[in-house]
Amino acid sequence: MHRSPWTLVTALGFALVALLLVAPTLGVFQSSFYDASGERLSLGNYAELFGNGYYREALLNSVLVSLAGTLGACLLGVPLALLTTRFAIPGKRLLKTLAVLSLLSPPFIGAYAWILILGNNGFLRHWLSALGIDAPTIYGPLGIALVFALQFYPLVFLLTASGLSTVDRSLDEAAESLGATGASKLFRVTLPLVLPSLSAGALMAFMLALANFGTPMILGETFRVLPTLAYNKFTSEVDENPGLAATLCIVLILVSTGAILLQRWLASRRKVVARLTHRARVERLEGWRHWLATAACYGIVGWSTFPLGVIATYSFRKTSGPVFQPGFDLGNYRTVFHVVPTAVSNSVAFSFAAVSLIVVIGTLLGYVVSRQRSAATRVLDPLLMTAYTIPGIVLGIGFVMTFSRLPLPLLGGGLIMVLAYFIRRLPYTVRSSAAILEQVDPAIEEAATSLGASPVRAFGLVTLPLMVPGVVAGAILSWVTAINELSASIVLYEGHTVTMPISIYHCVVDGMYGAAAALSTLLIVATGVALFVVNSLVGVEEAVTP
Amino acid sequence: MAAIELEAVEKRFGEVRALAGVSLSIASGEFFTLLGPSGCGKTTLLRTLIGFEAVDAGSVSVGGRPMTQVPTSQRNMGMVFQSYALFPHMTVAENVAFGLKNRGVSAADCASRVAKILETVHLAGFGDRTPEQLSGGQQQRVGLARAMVIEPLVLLMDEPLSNLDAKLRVQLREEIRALQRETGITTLYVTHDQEEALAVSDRIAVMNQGQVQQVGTPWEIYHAPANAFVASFVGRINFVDAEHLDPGGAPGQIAIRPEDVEVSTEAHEDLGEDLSLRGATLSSTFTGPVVSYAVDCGPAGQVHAERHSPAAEALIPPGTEVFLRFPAAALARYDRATGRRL
Ligand SMILES: Nc1ncnc2c1ncn2[C@@H]1O[C@H](COP(=O)(O)OP(=O)(O)OP(=O)(O)O)[C@@H](O)[C@H]1O
Ligand SMILES: [Mg+2]
Repeated sequence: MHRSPWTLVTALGFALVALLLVAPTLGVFQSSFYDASGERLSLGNYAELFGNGYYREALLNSVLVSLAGTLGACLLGVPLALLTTRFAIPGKRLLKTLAVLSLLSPPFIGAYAWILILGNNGFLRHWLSALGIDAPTIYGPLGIALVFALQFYPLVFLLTASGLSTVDRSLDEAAESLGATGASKLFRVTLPLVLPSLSAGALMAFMLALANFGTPMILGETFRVLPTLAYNKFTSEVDENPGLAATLCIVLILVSTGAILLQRWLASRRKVVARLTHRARVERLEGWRHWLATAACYGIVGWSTFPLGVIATYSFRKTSGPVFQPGFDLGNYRTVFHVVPTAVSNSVAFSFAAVSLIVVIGTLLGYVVSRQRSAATRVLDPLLMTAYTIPGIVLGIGFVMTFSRLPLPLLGGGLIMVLAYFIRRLPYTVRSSAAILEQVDPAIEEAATSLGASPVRAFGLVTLPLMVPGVVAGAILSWVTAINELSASIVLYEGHTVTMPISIYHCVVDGMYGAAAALSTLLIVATGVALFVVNSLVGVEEAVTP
Repeated sequence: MAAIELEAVEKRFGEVRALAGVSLSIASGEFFTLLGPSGCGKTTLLRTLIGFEAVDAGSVSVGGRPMTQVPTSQRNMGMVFQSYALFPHMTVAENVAFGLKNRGVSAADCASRVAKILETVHLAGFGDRTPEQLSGGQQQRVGLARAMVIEPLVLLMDEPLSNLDAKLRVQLREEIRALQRETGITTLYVTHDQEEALAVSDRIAVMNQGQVQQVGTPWEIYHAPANAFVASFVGRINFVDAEHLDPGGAPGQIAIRPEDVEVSTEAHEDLGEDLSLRGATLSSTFTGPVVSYAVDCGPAGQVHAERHSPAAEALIPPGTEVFLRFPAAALARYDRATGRRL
């Protein structure tokens, strides 16, 4: 074979994976076998974790609250998917966009919004108590599960809906002809058929809930989960224990890997070959049924976007110190630009830097993975995908543990934040670029080389232009996740590299609710604008679900 | 001097031996066709020739120049693809000009050459359209123009017509053939449609399982097949065990094409060197110009016979006893084990 520049790209991919994924994970793994002094090898951390009720409970809490959140996400997402794919509901596109907006806005903003709504001073609590009703508290496991459900249901919704739209109508009709109708058809035919996509959506919801750091930090109070505990053990001055933090991280990775394997097994048992000859039919409901279905859809989506509206409204409220006052002004925004201007500029700078890297390297790697098949690229793809199983907080801790030992001046600067965003999002871009390429006839590129274009020129003149819309859409979504990232950055940042999500978190913890609302609104608006652009380029569902 | 010379070319994909020692010599200006069943290695041969695939062993040379180490972009071969492979983000004119731009042809020169070739393929005035605004046949004409405008050393076509409907296929293949005669460009054409191969080619190579079975003119391939595979792949043919037909003669299989079998309801007299069989018609199929009969000849098996479309009264109904006559001049014998012609 002629030596090609793509070999170099593949090598770069391996180097990045080694440096930014494998080394940090191994670093964490290694640290988990050291005692608190950091000098002696021992299994003490594991003994402590599984022996001490406090840690066992955190593990159980993590799993249970994530499961509860996932269950809630299914209860919201599956009906929404069924209703919107089977019936003519007005404004489906709007519903989808709003659902994706609530998915992509940072979860800790949702958590914080619910404090404004149902917290000790929440307006809904006040209204309800004026009516003599004692509202349940938003703090604790149920509140966390609620935020997870409202945040992550769009994944279940989008994946189930796409699964449903590829279920052949004739299967549905066959079931009906065999006498199955209504609920029996739904549970015995339709849902089993979409189980692979439904469970894939549920899995993503579970993994994101399990890895989530901001929400349990804000709403948890004494309720501890693995990510918050790992964070405390790693950063706290009073009971710092990096070895134990590392052990918690390893357990977190094991749980999410277990979840992936479980879902794979579930989905493979029900492998359905969808041969789409008869598209699912969209029925028009009549009378009150139509209005009920429409109300249910808008109810679900409205419920999840409601917190974002609350935040935006509160950002314009007058404040004095931590207390909201009657009336509106721009004071909170003034505070933001006076008190934390670096957070805004850092967020912008870091996220753009990360996206530039992601676009260039992700596109090249996507090309290599899909077009330059070899033993090496077949290994590279799944290696990159391991990034899915590594929660942000674990990656952050791993970065610190690894780079503090390497003679690289990375820690404490902006570059480390950029690298964290970069590697967390890279797999998505590689996958989506590869998926775009699957739809481009490989013969097109061969035609270009046969006409005298060198491989590099053929890629630049022919393949790349065909990839652009998809790549731009992916880049914008990467930018959204980068600018909203909290869990890795909170471990990695230092005073001068603080970002907007970190500032919001601190503002909430310090009771500066007005500034928090203003910062959050800026992020929500940025997310919304980005979504709008993506939507007009390719349509959001394609871009969000890998 | 041979325009294309392949010598003992080997290509493996894992366990599959896609090319198992292929040697071919194609003359300058020739219209040469590779014909063979699906998976026999036709596409692979074309792809190794243009350099999309590297050969595992053997040598490839074009115009006397060894090609094995030359990258595709410098081989100066034109290729026409089954899927057309037009650049969807470029207009027809830009598609055609692509190869000229890569060669640094000046803009003015480029424009006039593009206009000229589009006229040649009957697409004058289509330059500003995008590929998706063209029919399949028009798209393939663009593919042809794009490959020919660079004046390549050889033109390679991989089933260029297989995505088109039957009428258009015939029309376009005649156009391609006429264009090839006019320009004299050496052309290597791939098809699995035997009629197409017979109609357009100067010479044909029949391939099977990565090996060349026979190289010859269409007439030779059809009337003097080198082995049983070629005989059965190109056109229809009956194989009858010699022991049933010619008990005293040499062993092997005797082959005869259905159109050479004479069928009659009366016994043949003075057979001479010819052979004969008796049987009963199973069915008759009317296809317009010919009627074909399936005749059950007992232990000798089924034999197909064709007659030019006869008058209605002369049609033989199923279940009739018939006599088949196999003229000696139309018979060939093949070795039962090796399939070789005896
Ligand atoms: N890239 C590849 N990887 C693995 N096997 C391949 C590859 N390309 C071809 N083959 C195998 O090599 C053999 C020859 O394939 P080839 O495409 O050359 O056949 P073909 O004669 O062009 O068939 P068709 O008429 O169906 O196009 C087949 O068995 C095929 O499966
Ligand atoms: Mg082929």
